[in-house]
Amino acid sequence: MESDRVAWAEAVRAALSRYDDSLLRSVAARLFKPRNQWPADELVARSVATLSNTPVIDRRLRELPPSSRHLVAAVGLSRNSSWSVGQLVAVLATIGHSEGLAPLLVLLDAGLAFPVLPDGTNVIRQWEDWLGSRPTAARVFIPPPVADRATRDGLPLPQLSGKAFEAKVIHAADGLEWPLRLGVLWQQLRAAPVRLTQASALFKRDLTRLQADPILGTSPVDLAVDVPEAGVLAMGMGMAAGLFVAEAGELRTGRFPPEWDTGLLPTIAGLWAALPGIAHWDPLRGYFLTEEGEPFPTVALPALLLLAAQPDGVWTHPADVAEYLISRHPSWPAALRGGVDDAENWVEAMLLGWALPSRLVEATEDGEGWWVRLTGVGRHLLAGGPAPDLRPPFPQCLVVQPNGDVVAYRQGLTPGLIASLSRFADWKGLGPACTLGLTAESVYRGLESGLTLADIAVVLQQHSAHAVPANVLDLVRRWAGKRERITVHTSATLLEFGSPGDLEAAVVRGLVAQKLTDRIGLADGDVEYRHFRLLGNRDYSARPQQCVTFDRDGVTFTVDVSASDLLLEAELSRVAEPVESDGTERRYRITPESARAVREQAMTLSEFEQWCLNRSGEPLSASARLLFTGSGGVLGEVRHRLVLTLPSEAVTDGVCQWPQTGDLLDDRLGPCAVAVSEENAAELLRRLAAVGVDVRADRG
Amino acid sequence: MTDPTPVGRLPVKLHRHVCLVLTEDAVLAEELLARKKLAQEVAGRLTDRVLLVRPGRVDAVLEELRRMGHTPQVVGGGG
Repeated sequence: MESDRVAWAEAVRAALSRYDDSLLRSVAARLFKPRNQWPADELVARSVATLSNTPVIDRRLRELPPSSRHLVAAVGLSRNSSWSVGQLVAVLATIGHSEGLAPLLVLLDAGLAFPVLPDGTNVIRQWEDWLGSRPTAARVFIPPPVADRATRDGLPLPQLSGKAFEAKVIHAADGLEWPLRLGVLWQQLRAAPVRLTQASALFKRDLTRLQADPILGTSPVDLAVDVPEAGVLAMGMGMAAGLFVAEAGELRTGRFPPEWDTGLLPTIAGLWAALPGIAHWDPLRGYFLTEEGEPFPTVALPALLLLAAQPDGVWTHPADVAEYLISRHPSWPAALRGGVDDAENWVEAMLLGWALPSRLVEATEDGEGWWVRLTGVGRHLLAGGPAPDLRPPFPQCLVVQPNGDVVAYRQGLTPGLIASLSRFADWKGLGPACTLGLTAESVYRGLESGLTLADIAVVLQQHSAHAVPANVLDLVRRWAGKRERITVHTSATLLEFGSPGDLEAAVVRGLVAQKLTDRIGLADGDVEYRHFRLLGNRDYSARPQQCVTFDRDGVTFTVDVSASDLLLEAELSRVAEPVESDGTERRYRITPESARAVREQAMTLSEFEQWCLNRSGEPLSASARLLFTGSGGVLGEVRHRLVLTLPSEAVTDGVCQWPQTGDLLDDRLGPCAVAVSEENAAELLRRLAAVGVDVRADRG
Repeated sequence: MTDPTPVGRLPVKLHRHVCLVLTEDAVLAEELLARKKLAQEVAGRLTDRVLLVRPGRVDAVLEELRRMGHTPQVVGGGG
């Protein structure tokens, strides 16, 4: 696909652009043998072009040592071009090459594999710069054209001692179990996301939620083995397939993968390709965390590759697979709780619990236990077999009942239909006949996920064996209509015009989607700036802008219209009253009535102070504070007093401080004025005269 | 065919990233404002059926609307 080609080519370009000049030239020299001293950009472009050149790729692959060639083939058969270095080393060892990192370094030198570099990576001079102190955690990718070509020669894996016999009962799956469970989990995450730790592990509460779920917490009905923590496995598969996305410590829903709409075979291939990303799950233990990385992907891939090496139709015993793998895998034996003896159980649980519902293998049982072999789908994906036709025999697999319940007969389901149903109907049970329910909430979820009422009706009508009951369609229509009653714009762009006429003109030109007031309209998508002359531009995700200037009285203020916003309009109506002004200025005043209204709206003094600071850049004025708080309940006093005015501040300070006079004074009224009660006046004047301060009595 | 040239550029003030609740009618807006938890997230009322939500509080508004049994249409992501 062109989009895939663009993606891997961009990844190759990004990696090569971080190579040091000498490393780039050395890699290019091996990849396409440049004849001139081309600049770095030219080398990068030609390297990308070479990786699409099949004859050159074949030549380069033939030049590789077998271990490197087999590594590329294994990656190609996994259908996932990106693996961690630790996983690749483990896979390589398990298929018979225990040279450690060496085969991978050969591929990097040859320009057939590339490091996945996080942002901020420095220039790479040698591979050790990139591998760093934790080489197994680094990620590497092999461009799909290279990996695909390497799969043609297969892998030199041994034929195990299988047997060909006519099985009485063959246990096979339809491949829909995981898509169905992913649909169920998608609905649950849509309702309430799962929280993740920094290591993308589960918190206890969410683990319990997955374990206790009546659908996700149980094993598939027809399965011969129990799948421990099937919900955790579904979550891991969904994360690896990109259906669930970790965002800010939460697992949220993404879009259903596009291959689900193209059929069952691409869906199974997509889930198979997700294998290296499945974390924290083990076929025997269920939810499983290790610092070294869980062995599931690096054992499952070689196990399936081993089955692909067996003759078509021959049954293989899981014990034989386990015996081959256990002696070669570097970390798996240590992860087995019961030691090496558990290997057979582990492989059997993996094949019957994960690979069988994935439709990669089928199984049968005889006196010696379980036997497995690849299905037609498995042989197509892993052994170059023909693509089986997996189209459902009949598309009308739904029965919609008058109470809104829906029965979905499994034979007619497709991943695309599962995705659609998951969006607008609640899964109630999975089995040969799955059950769903249509509710107001489920229809709302479908509409919020981007479906329209018509989409929902079409899915129900196209896939129903009988006519959809009219009352159900009516209910769905009514639920959808209920959604139209309230619209929440989370990040709207509003256009505020100077006059109703300008707004009308914008509506006529199709620049406004909806009129909100006589001067304000809702913008229709992106604003076309060429139609407008901007008078102001306010971003409501930023801090409130200062747009108010107070007069000297501390209660009257002027609004800077170009810097104000709609929030201010709402705030003004709460805190102040408009004042008539002769010009175009907009002026307001805080009055005792508006201050009282602010208090009655439960706005606190600190909120009012913060509003003043945000909008004017100045603290709340004393007069505004007075109107808002009054005296705080403390009584004032009115009384007769004489005022003694003294010649200077220094003399006043002395009169106040000297106990002989200070004890006869009331409050100090100013720098040179003090209050004196009438009964103390005569004695005070006498004592002042004694120290040389003469006071002339006011004749009035 | 090319776009017609604009007749004249309209003077306008732009308000970006505004959180709004639009109701079907004024009575429904009143009903929402009567809900204390919702009212405290509303900065003001632009018209009788358009409510202005305080910046950064749209998730709380959506949660409260759903708790009230409403199924709001969310435009512009979130929720």
